[in-house]
Amino acid sequence: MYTSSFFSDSLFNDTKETLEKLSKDYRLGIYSEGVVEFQRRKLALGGIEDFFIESLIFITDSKLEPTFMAQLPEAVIVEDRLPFIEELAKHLRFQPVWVNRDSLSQKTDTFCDTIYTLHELPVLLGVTKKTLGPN
Amino acid sequence: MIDDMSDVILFDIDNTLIDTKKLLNSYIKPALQEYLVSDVEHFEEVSSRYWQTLEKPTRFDPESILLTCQWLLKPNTQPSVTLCTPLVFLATAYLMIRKKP
Repeated sequence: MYTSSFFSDSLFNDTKETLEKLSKDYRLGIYSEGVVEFQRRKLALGGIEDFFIESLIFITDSKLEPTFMAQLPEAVIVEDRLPFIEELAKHLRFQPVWVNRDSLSQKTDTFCDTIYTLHELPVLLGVTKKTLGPN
Repeated sequence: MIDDMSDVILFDIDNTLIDTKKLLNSYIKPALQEYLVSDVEHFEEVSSRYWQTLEKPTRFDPESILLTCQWLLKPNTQPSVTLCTPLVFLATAYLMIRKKP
């Protein structure tokens, strides 16, 4: 039977915890390719929509289209597909991070930082240091 | 460690936040199996109507969605991770259509 819990049950184990942690220090958004209605449904039914700031949700049918990319703010961008990563790395405004979920390969990329789970992201970003800092 | 150049982090969704392969194989596919076998005749009419309500018409027409869903349900179909995202899109479209006759 089709139910909305499909989506929350399909979140990676590290997704909610990482978003929760990072949302204290960063403004979180989306950079996604697909039909807006469907991608938003995934966020809503996955129970993670509230972590993201509305003005920072960028969804399109062609992620690398120049006019679309021009709308993106300076940002760290977390992405699983290397062709996108390599294109993002050409722009100084972006710091792409490749999340390589295929942990068996342990492959890294020379264009960007590579992580294997989202749990590694706060460490990469220095969140602990930032949170505990004088500010 | 990344320099603190920005306080914005943008995330991709499929295969970054959501395990799209799991979504497809564990949840969408069984649901599709349940509906598709009994609902083929109804599909074309309802899906045509549904697609017209989308903000932007997609490149996928109802017939190709149906064919893709049928292919997906064949026992030996093993889509790659990359293919999972568009397949989830199509299959979810089908299931949503099916839910809104």
